[in-house]
Amino acid sequence: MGINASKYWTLPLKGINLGVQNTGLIEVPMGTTIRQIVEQMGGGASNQGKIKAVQTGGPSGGCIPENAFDTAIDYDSLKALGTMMGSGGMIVIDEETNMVDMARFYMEFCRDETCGKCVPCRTGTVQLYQILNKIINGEATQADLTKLKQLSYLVKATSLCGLGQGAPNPILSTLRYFEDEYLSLLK
Amino acid sequence: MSVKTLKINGIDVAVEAGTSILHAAQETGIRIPTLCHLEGVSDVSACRLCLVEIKGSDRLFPSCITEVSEGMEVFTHTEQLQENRKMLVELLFAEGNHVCAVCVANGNCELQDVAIEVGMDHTRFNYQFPQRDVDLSHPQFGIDHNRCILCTRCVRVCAEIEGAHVWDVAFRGENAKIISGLNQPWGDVEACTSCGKCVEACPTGTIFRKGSTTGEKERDRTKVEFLSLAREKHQWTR
Repeated sequence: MGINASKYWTLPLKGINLGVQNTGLIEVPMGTTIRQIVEQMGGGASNQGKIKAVQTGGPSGGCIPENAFDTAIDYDSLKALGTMMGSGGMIVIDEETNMVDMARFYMEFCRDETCGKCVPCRTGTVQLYQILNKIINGEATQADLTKLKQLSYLVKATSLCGLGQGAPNPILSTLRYFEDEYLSLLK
Repeated sequence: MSVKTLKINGIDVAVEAGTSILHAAQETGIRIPTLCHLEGVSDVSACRLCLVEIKGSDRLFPSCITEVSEGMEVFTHTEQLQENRKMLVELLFAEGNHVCAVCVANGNCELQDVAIEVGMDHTRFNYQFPQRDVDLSHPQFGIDHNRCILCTRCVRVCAEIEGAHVWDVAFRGENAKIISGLNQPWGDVEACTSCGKCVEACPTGTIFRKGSTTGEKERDRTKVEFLSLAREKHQWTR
């Protein structure tokens, strides 16, 4: 293997409870499992909480639920889980965090970062952010959720550069593993 | 001159190497919708309407900038592509303030034509109703940003053909805007030669001749094409 070590760091999500006890910059060999990182190096959950997922790869990445924590980390295994290595960042999320809220946080970032050149990314990120807001405010229906999925696939498939192609990933991956959290917020 | 052979929607096509898929399809009689492509100026592949499928890849390719290659199998109108195009046009209509009934380009608008072509009858997305302004400071022309879809044809036609580079894009994302000069009123921009190429190039009613009212903007696209292609075709008289 060409690269046998990669950097990871755990850091708190802005405005959301800290998931693990130890955060900071760590360096682990490829093939380390997520559970080892979270429980041994991260020191497990803080505040008696229970960890439910980690988010990897930054705003264009996706989340990995607790039941897949025994996956050994490398580029292919993360891709199979619907996320990516990306920036190498890992955010540990505890049970108090709402995954829809987290998806909105990342979508807000992408909406602010889009350059505006291509149509799907310029207007799609704005619309996705608004639909997520609607869901969180408890005003959305099943039709909005369908729209959210359709638009996520559109933005991913048709955007010009990596920002737009990756922007819907937090939505698609939270929908994949935590759809119940979306459904519970619908009218 | 080498020739490439390929299949577009199952039809065998032979075109010159270096031809774009968009042009190859045109030669075959297949129209691929596009809003940012303009004959004679460079392509930016920004509108994403001309995306096509190529056998052997799960990515979509913008046909305006993808060159043909030997043995390529292209699909231009699959169900998924049609649905994508419809959603993209819906997004454009939700983004700006497009009110056909009071627009100078009504009936002669490429956005309208594409909407009809892709079968869009309503938009499923939230209208954004952005606050945008109208600049009427130029003695002959006006620009109404409410109708702008940021195709940047005006930017390219002015920079590449007229050589004046009056137009540019400022700000980013949802706030992106076409500006004249250094974000000055159009009338104050001395570089503008009042040639009117941007009026001809604009696919919607954004840039128009003053004095025209609803549905009165008529384009003479042959004029822009003559100006942009005449040198290649040796049509200049002196």
